[in-house]
Amino acid sequence: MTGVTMGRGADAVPAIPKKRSWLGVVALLVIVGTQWYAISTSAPDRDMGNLQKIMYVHIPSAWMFFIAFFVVALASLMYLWKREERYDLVAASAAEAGAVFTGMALATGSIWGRPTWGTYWTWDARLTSTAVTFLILVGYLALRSAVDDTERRARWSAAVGILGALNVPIVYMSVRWWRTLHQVQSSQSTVAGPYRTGWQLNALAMTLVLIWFIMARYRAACLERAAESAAENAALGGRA
Amino acid sequence: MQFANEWNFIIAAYVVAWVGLGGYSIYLARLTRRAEQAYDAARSATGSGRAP
Repeated sequence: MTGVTMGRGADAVPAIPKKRSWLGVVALLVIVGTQWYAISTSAPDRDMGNLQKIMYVHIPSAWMFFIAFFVVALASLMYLWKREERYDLVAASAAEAGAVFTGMALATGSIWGRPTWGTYWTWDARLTSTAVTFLILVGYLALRSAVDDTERRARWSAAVGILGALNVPIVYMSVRWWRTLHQVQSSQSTVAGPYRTGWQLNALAMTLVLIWFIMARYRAACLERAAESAAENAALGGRA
Repeated sequence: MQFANEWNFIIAAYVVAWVGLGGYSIYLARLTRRAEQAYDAARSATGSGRAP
């Protein structure tokens, strides 16, 4: 990783990565393109009609929150093992992006549910477990803003991140473990080719957006920490 | 099969998605700019360089 490191040893704040605005522009252009492709080329589905077009944003959003939570759990474990602050900041960045995608998955699913199921919301196992995941992520972020001590904040956040990740397999398997209104997971064999291509392209585009979100948030977090550290050093009369 | 007002729901879903993606992108850009300014101010106070 290229960048600037401030401080030495245990007090060192994470290196600040280079600014990569181009990645954000590319990610947004790619997702505009893939969404346009999927919306304009997909024919109405036999059961869902044109409402299947919502799936090109709903399903990739749901996949992104799985990936984001995996990053949160992995980075949290790495923090507890290595005690390096950069892992804590990666986990926090992924949690924030994950909360955005979980919110999107819930909202778009709810909009799809109204015409097809006849309701915006039902306390179905998949919907409820996803809402619980969203609340865990919001709670994780609230915890971080409530604790000032960086070491304690990182330790507590890592615990919440790892425990919260235990809910992700429940979300995934909920449609098989319980009788749910939400349909079971789609697979290569259950989705026709033209629809599948649209999903895959949008999933790739959304992954690019997720990567950019995490990288940009991580850089901002590193800058904030470096500024805090430099201000502390200045206040103590030292040099950063 | 066709649902009543289906395009209203499709448009609503994409508006919600783009408010999420676009809104968070704008939030990130503003957060980064503020963090860069704070970093540069702190670094200039200690006589060091600017944000990479």
